[in-house]
Amino acid sequence: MTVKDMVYAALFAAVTAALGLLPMVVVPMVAAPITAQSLGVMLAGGILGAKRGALALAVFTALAAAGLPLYAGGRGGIGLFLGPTGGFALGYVLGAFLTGWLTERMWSRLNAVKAFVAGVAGGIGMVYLLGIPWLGAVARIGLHKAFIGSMVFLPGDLLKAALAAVIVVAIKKAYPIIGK
Amino acid sequence: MFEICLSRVTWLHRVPAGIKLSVLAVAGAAVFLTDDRRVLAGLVGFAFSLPLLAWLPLRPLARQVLPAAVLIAALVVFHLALGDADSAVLVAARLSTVILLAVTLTLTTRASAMVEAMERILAPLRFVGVSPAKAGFTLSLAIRFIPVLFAITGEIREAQKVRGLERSVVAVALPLLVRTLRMADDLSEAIAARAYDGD
Amino acid sequence: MIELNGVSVRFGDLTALYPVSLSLAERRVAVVGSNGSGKSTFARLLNGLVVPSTGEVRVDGLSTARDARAVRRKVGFVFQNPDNQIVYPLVEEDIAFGLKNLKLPKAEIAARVDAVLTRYGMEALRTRPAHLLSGGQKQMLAISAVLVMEPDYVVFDEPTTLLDLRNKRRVARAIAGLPQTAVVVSHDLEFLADFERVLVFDAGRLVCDGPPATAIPFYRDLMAAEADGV
Repeated sequence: MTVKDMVYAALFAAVTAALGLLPMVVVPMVAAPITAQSLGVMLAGGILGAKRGALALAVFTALAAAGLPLYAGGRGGIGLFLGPTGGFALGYVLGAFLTGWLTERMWSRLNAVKAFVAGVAGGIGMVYLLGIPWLGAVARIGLHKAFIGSMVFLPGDLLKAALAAVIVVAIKKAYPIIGK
Repeated sequence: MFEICLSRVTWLHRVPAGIKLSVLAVAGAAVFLTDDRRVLAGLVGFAFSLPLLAWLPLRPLARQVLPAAVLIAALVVFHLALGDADSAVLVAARLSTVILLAVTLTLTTRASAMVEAMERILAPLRFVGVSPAKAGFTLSLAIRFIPVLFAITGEIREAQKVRGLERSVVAVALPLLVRTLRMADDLSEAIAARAYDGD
Repeated sequence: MIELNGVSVRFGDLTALYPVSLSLAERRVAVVGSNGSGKSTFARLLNGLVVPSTGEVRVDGLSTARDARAVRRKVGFVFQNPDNQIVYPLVEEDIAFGLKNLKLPKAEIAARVDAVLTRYGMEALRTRPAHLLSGGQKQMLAISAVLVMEPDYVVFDEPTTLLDLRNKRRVARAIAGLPQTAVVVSHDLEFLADFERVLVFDAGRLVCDGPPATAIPFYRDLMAAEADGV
């Protein structure tokens, strides 16, 4: 790990925490407001690449587990990782890696559509892949119902992937990090 | 500092973080591995009595527990509606034990002590090339910069308010990211200028 | 002594600094110029944060390119924005950071941290989180964190730009009291008046080099002419 790796990871962990301050829409069926926080997964991967992006989310996750109130609404602590939604939290780290890996592969010809695909694969696909079976097992509701239940979040997450794609392409022009 | 840990010290604060983490790990594993009602009842009793024995104030406790409690209640209702009382009891017992113990740990342990405990747990990763000193340094850097980025986010939202854009995620995130990336370059230089040669 | 020999700096196809040769032996050297004039690049050359594209920078005979590590220990650097250079969450931890990098024994680190906190009247801030300090306190922390390493030279890159008048004076006083050689990049002409030497940069070139009595009026005229030209 170079100094740059550590600095980027630390700062994007902090960005992910700060995104929790931005309210998006309040989905009527879900009590909690959906914030921009999970954008951090797609942005860290899409802007920093696989290794640094995953590191950033690992730092965010470790500090939240250690008891900093980093999740939206001032929540945190190790309980978030042991409860029914723990799989989603772990999915953040691997999701950032996947988004970053795909973004690096498509870097020279990156456009909003490709950035969207990378964001969906990592920030939705990977996160749900870990989160849903975990939820099904821990809550004893089975895979199928856990899947259906999680679909409430899909529209919001797709919207975030679209926003992330716009931002990643804009940052590639303004301040490219990958390939530098 | 900016953390969930209560500033009013209880006897649980004085128990080393490593011991509290071990208790959580053992109780957390036990509650998921056993179906025995007596063992489960014992663990639930332990989880509910610990915050009471430590005289934790109710308001911060409720604030951390509430979102999980809503979810657990929904799951219990769901299982009961399907006539599966066994699952309702198991889910309620398991999740409330884990959540209560974890929140109690978080409320009574300083983040710095938790980070140190994690460094010790992760120390064996040294053999696969992860340096505990670097990991610790990265965590400290993030702790230092979280309040800075909160402040910057506030400033940017303020500025975008004038243009009616403070709720636009892109209008806030884009300047936030550009400033963060510039800051990363400055900060890397500042670390090098102070003779850090960890790489 | 710091010596530059035919030093130029290019970033890609952009020339940030055209060839310059000079030696700095004065105790107080000021560097002025408009934004993009090359003054920050010049400052970063002095401790090896930027390495020359041509020529060589030597600090007491050490090359900034080849002996980077030794040069960084000799030449401290204070940045414009303290928020981008305070590394650790707590005041005392941040001051100790550089000393730990120098691998000093614990007792000496503690003694030096105490001494610098006392010298700048910051004992009460010792265990405070850095993000709760005022702008002036943050800059004094950043300066203390560099001075505690006891460098022979200190470079300041616009140390007072983000501060209010009272804190500008406080920082200026701290710089004036340094026993070391100080090179200060600044827009505060008032505070540079009692420096021994002033370097004026414009569009990547060193255009004037002399005592404040001649260099500061030159710089004022240059800025006025550029403003009229636009």
